[in-house]
Amino acid sequence: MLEIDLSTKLASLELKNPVITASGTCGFGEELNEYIDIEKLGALTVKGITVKAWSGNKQPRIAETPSGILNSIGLENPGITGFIDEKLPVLANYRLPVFVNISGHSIDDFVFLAEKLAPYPEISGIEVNVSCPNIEGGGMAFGTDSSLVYQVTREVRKVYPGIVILKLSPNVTDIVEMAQAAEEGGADVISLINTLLGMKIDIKRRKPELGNIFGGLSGPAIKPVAVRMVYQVASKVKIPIIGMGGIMSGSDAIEFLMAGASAVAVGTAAMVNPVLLLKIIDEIRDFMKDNKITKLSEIIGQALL
Amino acid sequence: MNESRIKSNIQISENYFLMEIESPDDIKDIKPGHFLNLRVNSINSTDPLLRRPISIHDYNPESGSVFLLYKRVGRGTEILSTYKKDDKINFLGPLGNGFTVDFKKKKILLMGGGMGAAPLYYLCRVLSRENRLTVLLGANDKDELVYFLEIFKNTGAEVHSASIDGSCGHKGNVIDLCLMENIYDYDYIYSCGPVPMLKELQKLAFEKDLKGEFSLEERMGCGIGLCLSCVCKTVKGNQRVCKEGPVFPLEEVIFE
Repeated sequence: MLEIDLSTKLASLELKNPVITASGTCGFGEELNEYIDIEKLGALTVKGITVKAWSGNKQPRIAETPSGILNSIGLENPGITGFIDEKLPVLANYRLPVFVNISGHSIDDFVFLAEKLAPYPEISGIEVNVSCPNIEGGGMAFGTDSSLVYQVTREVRKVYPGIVILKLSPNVTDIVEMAQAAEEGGADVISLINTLLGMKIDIKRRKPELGNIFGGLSGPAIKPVAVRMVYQVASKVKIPIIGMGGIMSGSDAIEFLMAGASAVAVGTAAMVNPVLLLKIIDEIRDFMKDNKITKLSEIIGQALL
Repeated sequence: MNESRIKSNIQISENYFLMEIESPDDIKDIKPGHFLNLRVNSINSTDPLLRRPISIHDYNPESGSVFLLYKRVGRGTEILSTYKKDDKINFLGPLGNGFTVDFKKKKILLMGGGMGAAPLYYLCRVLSRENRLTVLLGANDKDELVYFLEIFKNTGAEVHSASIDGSCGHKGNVIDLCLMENIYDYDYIYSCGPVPMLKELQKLAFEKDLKGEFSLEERMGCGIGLCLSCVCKTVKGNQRVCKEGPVFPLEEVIFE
Protein backbone atom coordinates (compact mmCIF):
# COMPACT_ATOMS: atom_id res chain seq x y z
CA MET A 1 0.00 0.00 0.00
CA LEU A 2 1.51 3.26 -1.17
CA GLU A 3 1.58 5.97 1.49
CA ILE A 4 0.54 9.24 -0.16
CA ASP A 5 1.68 12.50 1.44
CA LEU A 6 -0.52 15.38 0.27
CA SER A 7 0.92 17.92 2.69
CA THR A 8 2.44 21.14 1.43
CA LYS A 9 4.11 24.18 2.91
CA LEU A 10 3.20 27.83 2.63
CA ALA A 11 6.15 29.56 4.30
CA SER A 12 6.07 28.42 7.94
CA LEU A 13 2.60 26.90 7.66
CA GLU A 14 2.05 23.27 6.78
CA LEU A 15 -1.23 22.34 5.11
CA LYS A 16 -2.42 18.72 5.21
CA ASN A 17 -3.38 19.02 1.54
CA PRO A 18 -3.05 21.74 -1.08
CA VAL A 19 -6.74 22.60 -1.61
CA ILE A 20 -7.92 25.95 -0.25
CA THR A 21 -11.19 27.80 -0.81
CA ALA A 22 -10.91 30.97 -2.88
CA SER A 23 -12.07 34.12 -1.16
CA GLY A 24 -15.67 35.12 -1.77
CA THR A 25 -16.89 31.68 -2.73
CA CYS A 26 -17.16 29.95 0.64
CA GLY A 27 -18.88 32.64 2.70
CA PHE A 28 -17.43 32.47 6.20
CA GLY A 29 -17.20 28.69 6.33
CA GLU A 30 -20.44 27.76 8.05
CA GLU A 31 -22.56 27.84 4.86
CA LEU A 32 -20.08 25.53 3.15
CA ASN A 33 -19.89 23.25 6.18
CA GLU A 34 -23.56 22.33 5.63
CA TYR A 35 -22.44 20.52 2.47
CA ILE A 36 -18.94 19.26 3.17
CA ASP A 37 -16.73 18.73 6.20
CA ILE A 38 -14.60 21.83 5.72
CA GLU A 39 -11.95 20.51 8.13
CA LYS A 40 -10.91 18.15 5.34
CA LEU A 41 -9.68 21.11 3.30
CA GLY A 42 -6.10 22.34 3.35
CA ALA A 43 -7.23 25.80 4.45
CA LEU A 44 -10.11 28.22 4.21
CA THR A 45 -9.88 31.74 2.77
CA VAL A 46 -12.90 33.75 3.79
CA LYS A 47 -14.74 36.59 2.11
CA GLY A 48 -12.93 39.91 1.64
CA ILE A 49 -13.17 42.23 4.63
CA THR A 50 -13.03 46.02 4.53
CA VAL A 51 -12.64 48.71 7.19
CA LYS A 52 -16.36 49.53 7.20
CA ALA A 53 -19.28 47.25 6.38
CA TRP A 54 -20.12 47.39 2.67
CA SER A 55 -23.44 46.57 1.03
CA GLY A 56 -21.88 45.74 -2.34
CA ASN A 57 -22.88 46.59 -5.89
CA LYS A 58 -26.33 46.84 -7.42
CA GLN A 59 -28.07 43.99 -9.19
CA PRO A 60 -27.54 42.07 -11.37
CA ARG A 61 -24.29 40.96 -9.79
CA ILE A 62 -23.67 37.83 -11.80
CA ALA A 63 -23.78 36.79 -15.44
CA GLU A 64 -22.91 33.51 -17.05
CA THR A 65 -20.43 33.35 -19.94
CA PRO A 66 -19.01 30.37 -21.86
CA SER A 67 -17.53 28.09 -19.15
CA GLY A 68 -17.28 31.12 -16.92
CA ILE A 69 -18.97 33.58 -14.61
CA LEU A 70 -18.76 37.34 -14.50
CA ASN A 71 -19.38 38.70 -11.03
CA SER A 72 -19.59 42.16 -9.58
CA ILE A 73 -20.56 41.43 -5.98
CA GLY A 74 -18.59 44.45 -4.85
CA LEU A 75 -17.10 43.07 -1.66
CA GLU A 76 -20.28 43.05 0.38
CA ASN A 77 -19.07 42.26 3.91
CA PRO A 78 -19.80 43.05 7.56
CA GLY A 79 -16.66 45.20 8.01
CA ILE A 80 -13.72 44.36 10.25
CA THR A 81 -15.63 44.89 13.50
CA GLY A 82 -18.58 42.81 12.31
CA PHE A 83 -16.19 40.11 11.17
CA ILE A 84 -14.29 39.95 14.46
CA ASP A 85 -17.44 40.05 16.61
CA GLU A 86 -19.74 37.78 14.62
CA LYS A 87 -17.83 35.63 12.15
CA LEU A 88 -14.49 34.95 13.79
CA PRO A 89 -15.90 33.15 16.88
CA VAL A 90 -17.66 30.68 14.55
CA LEU A 91 -14.58 30.24 12.37
CA ALA A 92 -12.45 29.57 15.44
CA ASN A 93 -14.42 26.37 16.07
CA TYR A 94 -13.08 24.73 12.94
CA ARG A 95 -9.78 22.92 13.07
CA LEU A 96 -8.14 24.16 9.91
CA PRO A 97 -5.97 27.10 8.92
CA VAL A 98 -7.96 30.22 8.09
CA PHE A 99 -6.83 33.06 5.87
CA VAL A 100 -8.69 36.35 5.96
CA ASN A 101 -8.86 38.31 2.73
CA ILE A 102 -8.60 42.09 3.27
CA SER A 103 -9.42 44.94 0.88
CA GLY A 104 -8.88 48.66 1.11
CA HIS A 105 -8.91 51.99 -0.68
CA SER A 106 -5.57 53.13 0.70
CA ILE A 107 -2.39 51.82 2.29
CA ASP A 108 -3.74 53.08 5.62
CA ASP A 109 -6.83 50.88 5.17
CA PHE A 110 -4.71 47.78 4.59
CA VAL A 111 -2.48 48.55 7.57
CA PHE A 112 -5.51 49.21 9.79
CA LEU A 113 -7.07 45.86 8.82
CA ALA A 114 -3.80 43.96 9.32
CA GLU A 115 -3.35 45.52 12.76
CA LYS A 116 -6.90 44.60 13.75
CA LEU A 117 -6.37 40.97 12.74
CA ALA A 118 -2.87 40.67 14.21
CA PRO A 119 -3.96 39.68 17.76
CA TYR A 120 -5.92 36.60 16.65
CA PRO A 121 -3.87 33.40 16.58
CA GLU A 122 -6.90 31.48 15.22
CA ILE A 123 -6.18 33.25 11.94
CA SER A 124 -3.17 31.76 10.15
CA GLY A 125 -2.69 34.56 7.71
CA ILE A 126 -4.09 37.45 5.75
CA GLU A 127 -4.58 37.60 2.03
CA VAL A 128 -4.00 41.18 0.92
CA ASN A 129 -6.38 41.77 -1.95
CA VAL A 130 -4.72 44.28 -4.24
CA SER A 131 -6.73 42.98 -7.14
CA CYS A 132 -10.47 43.27 -6.70
CA PRO A 133 -11.91 44.59 -9.97
CA ASN A 134 -15.21 45.45 -8.33
CA ILE A 135 -14.46 48.39 -6.09
CA GLU A 136 -13.99 51.96 -7.11
CA GLY A 137 -10.92 54.03 -6.36
CA GLY A 138 -8.85 51.19 -5.01
CA GLY A 139 -8.73 47.45 -5.17
CA MET A 140 -7.29 46.59 -8.51
CA ALA A 141 -5.54 49.95 -8.83
CA PHE A 142 -3.07 48.81 -6.16
CA GLY A 143 -2.34 45.57 -7.94
CA THR A 144 -1.53 47.21 -11.26
CA ASP A 145 1.26 49.45 -9.95
CA SER A 146 4.32 47.58 -8.75
CA SER A 147 5.54 50.37 -6.49
CA LEU A 148 2.16 50.36 -4.71
CA VAL A 149 2.27 46.56 -4.41
CA TYR A 150 5.70 46.91 -2.81
CA GLN A 151 4.57 49.64 -0.42
CA VAL A 152 1.37 47.90 0.66
CA THR A 153 3.25 44.66 1.27
CA ARG A 154 6.01 46.36 3.24
CA GLU A 155 3.62 48.32 5.48
CA VAL A 156 1.35 45.34 6.14
CA ARG A 157 4.39 43.15 6.83
CA LYS A 158 5.50 45.55 9.58
CA VAL A 159 2.29 45.19 11.57
CA TYR A 160 1.20 41.61 10.88
CA PRO A 161 3.05 38.70 12.50
CA GLY A 162 1.34 35.81 10.67
CA ILE A 163 1.51 34.79 7.06
CA VAL A 164 1.12 37.62 4.57
CA ILE A 165 -0.29 36.54 1.21
CA LEU A 166 -0.47 39.01 -1.66
CA LYS A 167 -3.32 38.31 -4.06
CA LEU A 168 -2.36 39.61 -7.47
CA SER A 169 -4.45 40.90 -10.34
CA PRO A 170 -4.13 39.35 -13.78
CA ASN A 171 -5.18 42.68 -15.32
CA VAL A 172 -1.58 43.80 -15.77
CA THR A 173 1.00 43.84 -18.55
CA ASP A 174 3.67 42.07 -16.53
CA ILE A 175 2.56 39.79 -13.69
CA VAL A 176 6.17 38.95 -12.80
CA GLU A 177 6.92 42.58 -11.97
CA MET A 178 4.01 42.61 -9.49
CA ALA A 179 5.05 39.31 -7.94
CA GLN A 180 8.64 40.49 -7.52
CA ALA A 181 7.41 43.70 -5.89
CA ALA A 182 5.41 41.61 -3.40
CA GLU A 183 8.41 39.38 -2.70
CA GLU A 184 10.69 42.38 -2.16
CA GLY A 185 8.10 43.97 0.13
CA GLY A 186 8.27 40.92 2.37
CA ALA A 187 5.27 38.80 1.37
CA ASP A 188 5.38 35.18 2.54
CA VAL A 189 3.12 33.86 -0.20
CA ILE A 190 1.64 35.07 -3.50
CA SER A 191 -1.81 34.04 -4.64
CA LEU A 192 -2.90 34.42 -8.23
CA ILE A 193 -4.95 35.00 -10.20
CA ASN A 194 -7.88 37.14 -9.16
CA THR A 195 -10.62 37.53 -11.76
CA LEU A 196 -10.08 39.01 -15.20
CA LEU A 197 -11.98 42.20 -15.89
CA GLY A 198 -14.76 41.48 -18.36
CA MET A 199 -18.16 42.50 -19.65
CA LYS A 200 -21.33 41.04 -21.13
CA ILE A 201 -24.02 42.89 -23.01
CA ASP A 202 -27.71 41.99 -23.03
CA ILE A 203 -28.48 42.49 -26.72
CA LYS A 204 -32.25 42.55 -26.19
CA ARG A 205 -32.05 45.40 -23.70
CA ARG A 206 -28.97 46.86 -25.45
CA LYS A 207 -27.42 47.35 -22.03
CA PRO A 208 -24.61 45.84 -19.96
CA GLU A 209 -25.83 42.72 -18.14
CA LEU A 210 -24.18 43.60 -14.85
CA GLY A 211 -25.46 46.45 -12.71
CA ASN A 212 -21.84 47.50 -12.22
CA ILE A 213 -21.18 47.30 -16.03
CA PHE A 214 -17.88 45.43 -15.64
CA GLY A 215 -17.22 42.32 -13.60
CA GLY A 216 -14.58 39.77 -12.81
CA LEU A 217 -14.40 36.68 -14.99
CA SER A 218 -13.77 33.36 -13.26
CA GLY A 219 -14.24 29.69 -14.05
CA PRO A 220 -12.70 27.21 -16.50
CA ALA A 221 -12.61 29.90 -19.22
CA ILE A 222 -9.68 31.63 -17.47
CA LYS A 223 -7.64 28.57 -16.51
CA PRO A 224 -5.06 28.75 -19.32
CA VAL A 225 -4.33 32.40 -18.47
CA ALA A 226 -3.98 31.52 -14.79
CA VAL A 227 -1.68 28.55 -15.41
CA ARG A 228 0.50 30.72 -17.64
CA MET A 229 0.79 33.43 -14.98
CA VAL A 230 1.60 30.96 -12.21
CA TYR A 231 4.27 29.44 -14.44
CA GLN A 232 5.81 32.85 -15.23
CA VAL A 233 5.82 33.91 -11.58
CA ALA A 234 7.14 30.59 -10.32
CA SER A 235 10.06 30.90 -12.71
CA LYS A 236 11.07 34.23 -11.19
CA VAL A 237 10.19 34.32 -7.48
CA LYS A 238 11.22 32.08 -4.58
CA ILE A 239 8.22 32.47 -2.25
CA PRO A 240 5.40 29.91 -2.50
CA ILE A 241 2.40 30.45 -4.76
CA ILE A 242 -1.26 29.63 -4.29
CA GLY A 243 -2.52 29.05 -7.83
CA MET A 244 -6.12 29.57 -8.82
CA GLY A 245 -8.36 30.23 -11.79
CA GLY A 246 -11.01 27.83 -13.05
CA ILE A 247 -9.96 24.69 -11.19
CA MET A 248 -12.78 22.15 -11.47
CA SER A 249 -10.94 18.84 -11.10
CA GLY A 250 -7.87 17.15 -9.70
CA SER A 251 -6.15 17.30 -13.06
CA ASP A 252 -6.77 21.05 -13.26
CA ALA A 253 -5.20 21.40 -9.80
CA ILE A 254 -2.21 19.30 -10.84
CA GLU A 255 -1.59 21.61 -13.80
CA PHE A 256 -1.22 24.50 -11.36
CA LEU A 257 1.04 22.49 -9.06
CA MET A 258 3.23 21.47 -11.99
CA ALA A 259 3.35 25.12 -13.10
CA GLY A 260 4.91 25.88 -9.72
CA ALA A 261 2.07 26.48 -7.26
CA SER A 262 2.55 24.99 -3.79
CA ALA A 263 -1.19 25.03 -3.17
CA VAL A 264 -4.34 25.75 -5.12
CA ALA A 265 -7.53 27.68 -4.43
CA VAL A 266 -10.93 26.64 -5.72
CA GLY A 267 -13.73 29.16 -6.08
CA THR A 268 -16.19 28.94 -8.94
CA ALA A 269 -16.28 25.13 -8.75
CA ALA A 270 -17.50 25.34 -5.14
CA MET A 271 -20.37 27.55 -6.27
CA VAL A 272 -21.42 24.99 -8.84
CA ASN A 273 -20.95 22.00 -6.57
CA PRO A 274 -19.40 22.34 -3.10
CA VAL A 275 -18.55 18.63 -3.05
CA LEU A 276 -16.00 19.26 -5.81
CA LEU A 277 -13.66 20.79 -3.21
CA LEU A 278 -13.17 17.39 -1.58
CA LYS A 279 -13.33 15.50 -4.87
CA ILE A 280 -10.38 17.54 -6.13
CA ILE A 281 -8.33 16.37 -3.12
CA ASP A 282 -9.28 12.75 -3.85
CA GLU A 283 -8.42 13.13 -7.51
CA ILE A 284 -4.98 14.57 -6.72
CA ARG A 285 -4.38 11.57 -4.44
CA ASP A 286 -5.55 9.16 -7.17
CA PHE A 287 -3.25 10.76 -9.72
CA MET A 288 -0.31 10.37 -7.36
CA LYS A 289 -1.23 6.76 -6.64
CA ASP A 290 -1.55 5.94 -10.34
CA ASN A 291 1.78 7.55 -11.06
CA LYS A 292 3.54 6.15 -7.98
CA ILE A 293 4.23 9.57 -6.54
CA THR A 294 4.39 9.55 -2.76
CA LYS A 295 4.99 13.21 -1.97
CA LEU A 296 3.13 16.22 -3.34
CA SER A 297 6.42 18.10 -3.44
CA GLU A 298 7.50 15.78 -6.25
CA ILE A 299 4.83 17.36 -8.47
CA ILE A 300 5.31 21.02 -7.59
CA GLY A 301 7.08 22.93 -10.36
CA GLN A 302 7.65 19.80 -12.47
CA ALA A 303 6.64 21.56 -15.67
CA LEU A 304 9.07 24.43 -15.15
CA LEU A 305 11.84 24.39 -17.70
CA MET B 1 -26.56 16.86 -3.61
CA ASN B 2 -29.05 14.56 -5.21
CA GLU B 3 -29.72 12.77 -8.41
CA SER B 4 -33.25 11.83 -9.38
CA ARG B 5 -34.98 10.04 -12.17
CA ILE B 6 -37.22 12.12 -14.39
CA LYS B 7 -40.70 10.62 -14.57
CA SER B 8 -41.88 12.98 -17.29
CA ASN B 9 -41.00 16.30 -18.89
CA ILE B 10 -43.88 17.62 -20.96
CA GLN B 11 -44.50 20.79 -22.91
CA ILE B 12 -47.74 22.34 -21.70
CA SER B 13 -47.74 25.48 -23.85
CA GLU B 14 -45.44 27.20 -26.30
CA ASN B 15 -42.69 27.82 -23.75
CA TYR B 16 -43.93 26.21 -20.53
CA PHE B 17 -42.71 22.79 -19.45
CA LEU B 18 -43.72 20.58 -16.55
CA MET B 19 -41.13 18.19 -15.18
CA GLU B 20 -41.97 15.45 -12.72
CA ILE B 21 -39.05 13.95 -10.87
CA GLU B 22 -38.75 11.18 -8.32
CA SER B 23 -38.48 12.62 -4.85
CA PRO B 24 -35.31 11.25 -3.21
CA ASP B 25 -36.06 8.93 -0.26
CA ASP B 26 -34.02 10.97 2.19
CA ILE B 27 -35.96 14.16 1.49
CA LYS B 28 -39.25 14.31 3.36
CA ASP B 29 -39.66 17.95 4.17
CA ILE B 30 -40.44 19.85 1.00
CA LYS B 31 -42.29 23.06 1.78
CA PRO B 32 -44.13 25.42 -0.51
CA GLY B 33 -41.66 28.13 -1.53
CA HIS B 34 -38.62 25.85 -1.62
CA PHE B 35 -36.57 25.55 -4.79
CA LEU B 36 -34.14 23.11 -6.39
CA ASN B 37 -30.88 24.16 -8.00
CA LEU B 38 -30.59 22.01 -11.09
CA ARG B 39 -27.51 21.08 -13.02
CA VAL B 40 -28.35 21.38 -16.71
CA ASN B 41 -25.15 20.16 -18.36
CA SER B 42 -23.67 16.70 -18.65
CA ILE B 43 -21.49 15.66 -15.77
CA ASN B 44 -18.05 16.64 -17.08
CA SER B 45 -19.14 19.65 -19.07
CA THR B 46 -18.44 23.16 -17.80
CA ASP B 47 -20.89 24.89 -20.08
CA PRO B 48 -23.36 26.17 -19.06
CA LEU B 49 -21.53 26.41 -15.78
CA LEU B 50 -24.09 27.53 -13.23
CA ARG B 51 -27.04 25.59 -11.89
CA ARG B 52 -30.57 26.78 -12.58
CA PRO B 53 -32.81 27.53 -9.60
CA ILE B 54 -36.38 26.31 -10.21
CA SER B 55 -39.15 26.61 -7.63
CA ILE B 56 -41.15 23.63 -6.41
CA HIS B 57 -44.43 23.76 -8.29
CA ASP B 58 -45.97 20.83 -6.46
CA TYR B 59 -45.00 17.95 -4.24
CA ASN B 60 -46.84 14.71 -3.78
CA PRO B 61 -45.35 12.60 -0.97
CA GLU B 62 -47.68 9.66 -1.71
CA SER B 63 -46.48 9.18 -5.28
CA GLY B 64 -43.01 10.43 -4.37
CA SER B 65 -43.05 13.13 -7.01
CA VAL B 66 -41.70 16.64 -7.16
CA PHE B 67 -43.08 18.86 -9.92
CA LEU B 68 -41.13 21.69 -11.50
CA LEU B 69 -42.74 24.14 -13.87
CA TYR B 70 -40.38 26.22 -15.96
CA LYS B 71 -40.42 28.60 -18.86
CA ARG B 72 -37.98 28.10 -21.72
CA VAL B 73 -36.22 31.45 -21.76
CA GLY B 74 -32.51 30.84 -22.29
CA ARG B 75 -29.83 28.24 -22.74
CA GLY B 76 -30.30 26.51 -19.39
CA THR B 77 -34.04 26.03 -19.66
CA GLU B 78 -33.64 25.13 -23.35
CA ILE B 79 -31.37 22.24 -22.32
CA LEU B 80 -33.73 21.33 -19.48
CA SER B 81 -36.59 21.06 -21.98
CA THR B 82 -34.68 18.33 -23.87
CA TYR B 83 -34.51 15.98 -20.88
CA LYS B 84 -36.49 12.78 -21.38
CA LYS B 85 -38.31 10.31 -19.17
CA ASP B 86 -35.84 8.16 -17.19
CA ASP B 87 -32.97 10.65 -17.65
CA LYS B 88 -31.23 11.53 -14.41
CA ILE B 89 -31.19 15.07 -13.10
CA ASN B 90 -28.66 16.34 -10.58
CA PHE B 91 -29.73 19.00 -8.08
CA LEU B 92 -29.05 20.70 -4.78
CA GLY B 93 -32.05 21.12 -2.53
CA PRO B 94 -34.69 21.63 -1.47
CA LEU B 95 -33.26 25.08 -0.78
CA GLY B 96 -34.58 28.30 0.72
CA ASN B 97 -36.91 29.07 3.61
CA GLY B 98 -40.40 28.49 2.20
CA PHE B 99 -43.76 30.16 2.84
CA THR B 100 -45.55 30.29 6.18
CA VAL B 101 -48.26 27.64 5.98
CA ASP B 102 -49.71 27.31 9.48
CA PHE B 103 -52.93 29.24 8.96
CA LYS B 104 -56.45 28.05 9.71
CA LYS B 105 -59.83 29.56 8.84
CA LYS B 106 -58.30 32.62 7.23
CA LYS B 107 -59.19 34.53 4.11
CA ILE B 108 -56.10 34.44 1.96
CA LEU B 109 -55.15 36.11 -1.32
CA LEU B 110 -52.60 34.61 -3.70
CA MET B 111 -51.33 36.74 -6.55
CA GLY B 112 -49.13 35.36 -9.30
CA GLY B 113 -47.62 37.27 -12.20
CA GLY B 114 -46.41 35.16 -15.14
CA MET B 115 -44.27 32.25 -14.00
CA GLY B 116 -44.59 33.64 -10.47
CA ALA B 117 -47.75 31.55 -10.22
CA ALA B 118 -45.67 28.35 -10.33
CA PRO B 119 -44.57 28.19 -6.64
CA LEU B 120 -47.99 29.44 -5.49
CA TYR B 121 -49.71 26.26 -6.64
CA TYR B 122 -48.22 23.94 -4.01
CA LEU B 123 -48.88 26.67 -1.45
CA CYS B 124 -52.47 26.93 -2.64
CA ARG B 125 -52.99 23.19 -2.30
CA VAL B 126 -51.62 23.16 1.24
CA LEU B 127 -53.50 26.25 2.41
CA SER B 128 -56.81 25.44 0.73
CA ARG B 129 -57.42 22.53 3.11
CA GLU B 130 -58.30 24.82 6.00
CA ASN B 131 -58.60 28.34 4.57
CA ARG B 132 -60.64 30.34 2.07
CA LEU B 133 -58.48 31.28 -0.89
CA THR B 134 -58.73 33.72 -3.75
CA VAL B 135 -56.18 33.45 -6.53
CA LEU B 136 -55.40 36.32 -8.93
CA LEU B 137 -53.37 35.40 -11.98
CA GLY B 138 -51.81 37.78 -14.46
CA ALA B 139 -49.87 37.09 -17.65
CA ASN B 140 -49.25 38.42 -21.14
CA ASP B 141 -51.81 36.26 -22.90
CA LYS B 142 -54.12 33.26 -22.77
CA ASP B 143 -51.35 30.82 -23.65
CA GLU B 144 -49.60 31.64 -20.39
CA LEU B 145 -52.78 31.39 -18.32
CA VAL B 146 -54.75 28.32 -19.43
CA TYR B 147 -52.75 25.77 -17.46
CA PHE B 148 -52.71 27.83 -14.28
CA LEU B 149 -56.43 28.62 -14.44
CA GLU B 150 -57.29 24.95 -14.62
CA ILE B 151 -55.05 23.72 -11.82
CA PHE B 152 -55.85 26.52 -9.39
CA LYS B 153 -59.60 26.08 -9.97
CA ASN B 154 -59.23 22.41 -9.07
CA THR B 155 -58.06 23.34 -5.59
CA GLY B 156 -61.48 24.88 -4.89
CA ALA B 157 -60.07 28.40 -4.74
CA GLU B 158 -61.84 31.34 -6.33
CA VAL B 159 -59.72 32.22 -9.38
CA HIS B 160 -59.59 35.41 -11.48
CA SER B 161 -57.27 36.21 -14.32
CA ALA B 162 -55.98 39.17 -16.26
CA SER B 163 -54.06 39.25 -19.51
CA ILE B 164 -52.27 42.19 -21.07
CA ASP B 165 -53.68 41.43 -24.52
CA GLY B 166 -57.16 40.74 -23.18
CA SER B 167 -57.26 37.18 -24.55
CA CYS B 168 -58.09 35.70 -21.16
CA GLY B 169 -60.06 37.29 -18.33
CA HIS B 170 -59.73 40.98 -17.56
CA LYS B 171 -57.77 43.04 -20.09
CA GLY B 172 -55.00 44.63 -18.12
CA ASN B 173 -52.66 43.62 -15.35
CA VAL B 174 -53.21 41.67 -12.20
CA ILE B 175 -53.01 44.79 -10.04
CA ASP B 176 -56.26 45.97 -11.69
CA LEU B 177 -57.88 42.75 -10.46
CA CYS B 178 -56.54 43.41 -7.02
CA LEU B 179 -58.13 46.87 -7.03
CA MET B 180 -61.47 45.29 -8.01
CA GLU B 181 -61.29 42.90 -5.07
CA ASN B 182 -62.14 44.17 -1.63
CA ILE B 183 -58.58 43.83 -0.44
CA TYR B 184 -59.48 44.83 3.15
CA ASP B 185 -61.13 41.49 3.48
CA TYR B 186 -57.99 39.44 3.42
CA ASP B 187 -56.07 38.24 6.43
CA TYR B 188 -52.91 37.45 4.53
CA ILE B 189 -51.44 37.91 1.02
CA TYR B 190 -48.87 35.82 -0.85
CA SER B 191 -47.34 36.90 -4.10
CA CYS B 192 -44.66 36.00 -6.59
CA GLY B 193 -43.94 37.64 -9.92
CA PRO B 194 -42.27 40.61 -11.60
CA VAL B 195 -40.89 43.37 -9.38
CA PRO B 196 -43.19 46.16 -10.72
CA MET B 197 -46.19 44.03 -9.71
CA LEU B 198 -44.81 43.29 -6.25
CA LYS B 199 -43.98 46.95 -5.78
CA GLU B 200 -47.58 48.00 -6.57
CA LEU B 201 -48.97 45.28 -4.34
CA GLN B 202 -46.71 46.36 -1.50
CA LYS B 203 -48.02 49.92 -1.87
CA LEU B 204 -51.60 48.67 -1.62
CA ALA B 205 -50.74 46.46 1.33
CA PHE B 206 -49.15 49.39 3.17
CA GLU B 207 -52.22 51.57 2.54
CA LYS B 208 -54.53 48.92 3.94
CA ASP B 209 -52.10 47.64 6.58
CA LEU B 210 -52.15 44.12 5.22
CA LYS B 211 -49.62 41.44 6.05
CA GLY B 212 -48.21 38.84 3.73
CA GLU B 213 -45.22 37.34 2.02
CA PHE B 214 -43.38 37.78 -1.28
CA SER B 215 -41.29 35.13 -2.95
CA LEU B 216 -38.49 36.97 -4.75
CA GLU B 217 -36.47 36.09 -7.80
CA GLU B 218 -32.89 37.19 -8.33
CA ARG B 219 -30.03 35.91 -10.42
CA MET B 220 -28.24 33.31 -8.38
CA GLY B 221 -24.67 32.08 -8.35
CA CYS B 222 -24.37 29.20 -5.92
CA GLY B 223 -27.92 29.04 -4.50
CA ILE B 224 -26.59 28.01 -1.08
CA GLY B 225 -25.50 31.27 0.51
CA LEU B 226 -21.83 31.33 -0.43
CA CYS B 227 -21.42 34.02 -3.06
CA LEU B 228 -23.79 36.93 -2.28
CA SER B 229 -24.88 37.25 -5.92
CA CYS B 230 -28.60 37.16 -5.21
CA VAL B 231 -28.98 39.59 -2.31
CA CYS B 232 -32.00 41.87 -2.06
CA LYS B 233 -32.52 45.00 0.01
CA THR B 234 -34.70 44.66 3.11
CA VAL B 235 -35.34 46.63 6.28
CA LYS B 236 -32.89 44.23 7.96
CA GLY B 237 -30.18 45.08 5.43
CA ASN B 238 -29.10 42.92 2.52
CA GLN B 239 -30.51 39.41 2.62
CA ARG B 240 -29.63 36.45 0.44
CA VAL B 241 -32.61 35.42 -1.69
CA CYS B 242 -31.27 31.84 -1.80
CA LYS B 243 -30.66 31.49 1.93
CA GLU B 244 -32.74 33.88 4.06
CA GLY B 245 -35.34 33.86 1.25
CA PRO B 246 -36.70 33.45 -1.30
CA VAL B 247 -39.74 34.23 0.84
CA PHE B 248 -39.76 37.51 2.80
CA PRO B 249 -42.46 39.31 4.79
CA LEU B 250 -43.88 41.78 2.28
CA GLU B 251 -43.31 44.74 4.58
CA GLU B 252 -39.59 44.02 4.86
CA VAL B 253 -38.66 44.14 1.18
CA ILE B 254 -37.24 47.41 -0.12
CA PHE B 255 -37.77 47.90 -3.86
CA GLU B 256 -35.55 50.40 -5.62
